[in-house]
Amino acid sequence: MLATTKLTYKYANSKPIFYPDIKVEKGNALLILGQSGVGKSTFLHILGGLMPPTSGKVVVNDISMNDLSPKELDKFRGSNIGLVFQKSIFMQALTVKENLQLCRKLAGLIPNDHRIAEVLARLGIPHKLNSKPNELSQGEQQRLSIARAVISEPSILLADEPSSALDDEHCLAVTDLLREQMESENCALIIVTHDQRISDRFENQLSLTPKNKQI
Amino acid sequence: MNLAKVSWKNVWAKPWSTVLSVILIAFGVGLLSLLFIFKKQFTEQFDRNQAGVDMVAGAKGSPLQLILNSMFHVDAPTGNIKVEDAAFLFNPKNPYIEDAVPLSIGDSYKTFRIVGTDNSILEFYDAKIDQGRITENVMEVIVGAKVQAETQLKIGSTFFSSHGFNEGDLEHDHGAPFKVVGILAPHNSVMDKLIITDYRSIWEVHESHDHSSDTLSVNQNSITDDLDSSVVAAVPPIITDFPVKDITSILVRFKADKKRAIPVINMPRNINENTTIMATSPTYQLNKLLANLGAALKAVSYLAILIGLISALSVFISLYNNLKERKHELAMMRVAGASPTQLSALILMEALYIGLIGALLGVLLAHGGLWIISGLLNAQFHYALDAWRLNIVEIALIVGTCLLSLLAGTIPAIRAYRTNIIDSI
Repeated sequence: MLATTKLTYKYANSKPIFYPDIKVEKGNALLILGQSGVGKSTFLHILGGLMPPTSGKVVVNDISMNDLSPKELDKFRGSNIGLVFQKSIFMQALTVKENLQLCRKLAGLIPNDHRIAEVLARLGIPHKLNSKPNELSQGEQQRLSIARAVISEPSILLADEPSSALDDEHCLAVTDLLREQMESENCALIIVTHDQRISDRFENQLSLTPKNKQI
Repeated sequence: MNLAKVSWKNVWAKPWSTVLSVILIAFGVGLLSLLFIFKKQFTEQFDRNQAGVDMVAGAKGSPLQLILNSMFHVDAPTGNIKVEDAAFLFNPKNPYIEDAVPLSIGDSYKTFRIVGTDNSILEFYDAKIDQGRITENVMEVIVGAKVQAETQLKIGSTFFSSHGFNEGDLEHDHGAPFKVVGILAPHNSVMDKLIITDYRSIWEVHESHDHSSDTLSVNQNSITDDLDSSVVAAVPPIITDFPVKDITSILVRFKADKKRAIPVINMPRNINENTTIMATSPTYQLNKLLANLGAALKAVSYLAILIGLISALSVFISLYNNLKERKHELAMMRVAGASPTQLSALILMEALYIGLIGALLGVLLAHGGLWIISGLLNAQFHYALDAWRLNIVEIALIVGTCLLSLLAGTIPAIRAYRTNIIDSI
C-alpha cells in the first residue's frame, strides 16, 4: 500500500534528515510520534506528495511518486491520498456539499452525491450538507476536514496533528473517528503527531527523534 | 461542482467589492457605448435626411438654423423670403440646377409641422404614397406615417392648423380646413413626421385671416383670397407665378454632371454676396456641426476610457486582496488535486465574470439611456432613435472589456499559480 525507502530531506543550511523506512498496509494504522523540530511535518508532506524528498522513494499502490510529473502528481495526490490538517480550511464561498463535490471533481472522480451524504452521516454531520463552512462549530469543522480527506476514496489517509488542539475527550473522539474511517474505507491511516495522549490507541508506532537528523 | 461554478460563487462571496468593480466597468462601457451609438444614429439620421439636397436657400440668418429647419424640421425658420428674390433658382433654364423645391414652414397640427411645398418633394426624398393620392388641390395634405400613427388622421379627415410648432399655439380656425388625401409609406426619414401640402395652402390659411398687403401679380391663374380650387387644379401653376408671395426656403439639387463645376461650388457665396437671400451647403454645415459635436463627444469618451481603466484597477485590487485571504483555500485545492494551472484559471474566470457582467450591464445602461434620450427627442422633435439595436462595435467593446479584465487578473492569477502548499496550510 504505502512504502518508503531511504527517504532523506535536506533544508538549505541544515543537516539532512534521514527517515526510517515505513510500510503500511490497507486497513492498518501507523502512528508517527515526535517532538517539534524532528522533521515530523516534513515527513508527512513528503508522504502526502506535497513536496519531493531530497532522495529516496515513496511508493503508493505500486506507483513511485517520485516518477510522476507535477501534473500527474497533483491528480495522484487528489485521488490516492486524503490529508487532514490541524487547521480546518474550506472554500468559504461553497456549501459543505459543494466543497465535497469540488474535491471529487479535482480528484478526477465522477460526481456522487450519495457518497457525500453517506460520509457526512458516518461523521455525524449529515444535516450540515447545505450549510456554509463558517456556520459549523469547531468540532463539526474538524469532522468536515475528515470527510473531505476521505470523500475521494483515497487509499492512504494522512493526518497531521489531528488532536493536538483538542481537550482529552475530543482528542480521543477524533482519533476514533479516523480509525473508523480507515476501517470503513479500508485504507491505510498514518497519523503524525507529538500528542502522547493517543499513543496507547495504536499498535504500530514510530518515534522520530533528533538522532534522525545526525549522521 | 466545476471550476467555472466555483469561480462564479467566489465572485459573489464578496458581493460589495464585486459590485463596485461591476458598477465601474458598467459606467465606463455604458458611457462609451452610449456615445458611440448616439453618434452613429445621429449621423445616420443626417444621412437619411440629406435626400441629395446640394444647397438650401432662405432668409439671411444662421446657415445652420436654415439647414436644421428646412431639412430636419427642427428649430424655427430664419424668416421668409419673396418668391421673386429666389426666382432665379426656379428658372428651368438655369444650366446648373436640376430642380428646386419651395418650402413654407411655420404652421403645425398637434406639433407635427405642415410644410407647404409641391409634390416634387416626394421625389426628392423618394417617398411613396401608401394610401390615397398626391395633393391636387390647395388645402389637401399628405401625412407622414408617424403623423398618421400618432394623430389618427385618416383619408378624408379634416383639421385646422396651428400657427407655430407648439401645442396650444393659436389655431387657424376660420376658412377651409385641411383635408387628408394621402398617407405616406413609412420612410424612416423626416418625411414620416411631416404634413405636406401645396405651398398655396399656406398662403390661403394666412391670408384668409390677416389679409396681408401682398398684391398678387396679375396672372392667368393667380389665386385670390377666396381661392377657387377647381381653377387652380385645372392649370397647375408654377411658383414663379407668385413673385410677391412669401416662402421660407428652397431645397436645391444641382445637375449631376455639374456638381463640381466652379459656378456651382461658388453659388452659395455668390448668392450670399449678391442677393438678399442666403444659401448654404447642407454637407458643409452638417460636417461643421458634427465636427463640433465630435470634439465634445471626444472629451466624454476620454472620460469613459479613464473610468474603464479605473475599473480595471478595481478588478485587479479586488482579486489581489481576495487572493491574500484565500491563500489557504487555494492551497487546499492543490492538496485535493488541483494543478497550479487550474488555480490560475479559477482567478482568471473570476476576472472574466466581473468584466462580462460589467460590460453587459454597461451596454444595457447605454441602450436604456438611448431609449430615454429617444423618448425626449421624440416628444420634442418627433425624432425617434432605434434604442435597442445592437451594434458590432458594442460586441467589440464587450470583448475588449473582457480582455482588459483578464489582463487585470493576470498578476493575481500568476500569484495563484505560485501558491505554496506547504506554507499555506
